[in-house]
Amino acid sequence: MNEQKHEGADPYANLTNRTTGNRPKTGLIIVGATVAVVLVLGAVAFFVTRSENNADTAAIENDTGAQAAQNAKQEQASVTVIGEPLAAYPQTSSMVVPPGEDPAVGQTPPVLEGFSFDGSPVKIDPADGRAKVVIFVAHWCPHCQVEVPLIQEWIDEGNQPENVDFYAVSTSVKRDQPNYPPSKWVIKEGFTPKVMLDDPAGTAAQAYGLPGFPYFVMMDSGGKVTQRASGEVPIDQFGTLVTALGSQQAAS
Amino acid sequence: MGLSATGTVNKAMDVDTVTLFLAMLAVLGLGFLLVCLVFSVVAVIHGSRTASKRPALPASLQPLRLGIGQVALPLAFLVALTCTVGSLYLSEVAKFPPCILCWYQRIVMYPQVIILGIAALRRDVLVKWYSVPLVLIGLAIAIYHYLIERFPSTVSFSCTDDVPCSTVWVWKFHFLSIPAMAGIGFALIAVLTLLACNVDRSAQNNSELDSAEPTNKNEDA
Repeated sequence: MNEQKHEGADPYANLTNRTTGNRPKTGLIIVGATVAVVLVLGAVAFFVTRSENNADTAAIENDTGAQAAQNAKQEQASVTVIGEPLAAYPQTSSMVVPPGEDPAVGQTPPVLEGFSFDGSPVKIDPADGRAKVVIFVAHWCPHCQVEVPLIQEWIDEGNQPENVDFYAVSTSVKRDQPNYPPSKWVIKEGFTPKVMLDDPAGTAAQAYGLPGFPYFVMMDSGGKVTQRASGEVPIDQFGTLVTALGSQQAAS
Repeated sequence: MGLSATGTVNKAMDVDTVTLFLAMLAVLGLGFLLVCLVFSVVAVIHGSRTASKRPALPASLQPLRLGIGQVALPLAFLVALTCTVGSLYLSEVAKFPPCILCWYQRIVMYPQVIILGIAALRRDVLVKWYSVPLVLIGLAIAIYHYLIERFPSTVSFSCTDDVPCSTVWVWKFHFLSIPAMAGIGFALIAVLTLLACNVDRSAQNNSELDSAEPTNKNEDA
């Protein structure tokens, strides 16, 4: 009785002589072909990953973050903070804090002295007489991975005002997280702003009141914060903010 | 002061080899799914020209169809096994921590190894009633996971120190991430278990045909 019960579920129970003659052969061919293809794929994966040339052949501009990353000796470095840290980032539901709601607007951020990937010194000095945008990014953050190429494209289109400098700070570096090392990422994106490396404690990020990634601090030529934003800011909005910063400096 | 990347090169290469292999398997699976889709369209078109108007493959493709149906359950089991082993490799060896959505997909995928393994041994095509609903849930989660990877701003606009579900750990061939590969695995299991089911139906149909048309049977024999 029990044997009968299972017959309905057996695709081979009702087969006739007409079909059984061909099917095992076809099945064996399919299994054999599948095994062969899988073995070939395994071999291809093995040899491809061992013969991969990771050198990036894209043209890298001189004196940029990407150029320093090409000669990377380090992914994190010590940072010296001179001055008072910025006020804490306000609790807000919007990515760009309205200037009236941000206690840091009008404050002078501290000077950051650190290094880039190749060991060259990088200094972010609010009092150097230039307006600037400081972008804090984390290599593993998907929002940063979206934002960085958009910013670079915006720069490549010639939108960056001549009187505004861009700096990036690579922070929250984690070896066991994706898109490591950040130097490779910076090269891949051909990122032109100078990149300062934060230390493992996130000293630079803390000094600037980082609430999340990516994080933007904009300051005028007098060294005063004009705007802060955190998150994947739409590139149009980012462009509007930077263009406005450049226009303010030109007018003053 | 510095933190060198050289210490991780060998491990990264191994992980890269395995993820590339898994990605190529996923492409192979995707190709199989596309072939099944083409065959389905052919069956619908060909079937519409017959008297019964039911989808049916041309006679020349029937041996291939039956051959696939014959090995469909063992293949579905192997797909589930590969997905499970691959998932464990990525979390336990490559040390990619699974996010909550990864865990939901694991909850669906891991039991498939047992369910489909037993079904393959017993040749129990009725396993579709247990397996397909589960893998469709897994497929839906995988699609959602893939979409938030591609469009992270739909669920949050910034990262905190916790690594979010939208983090892309593996990116191959400009379209394959871990949830994409998992989604292909779920779809393959669903299609293969359904194909095994159709063998049963075909066999029954053939049986009916044979008993109704003894002349044809004798001719083929």
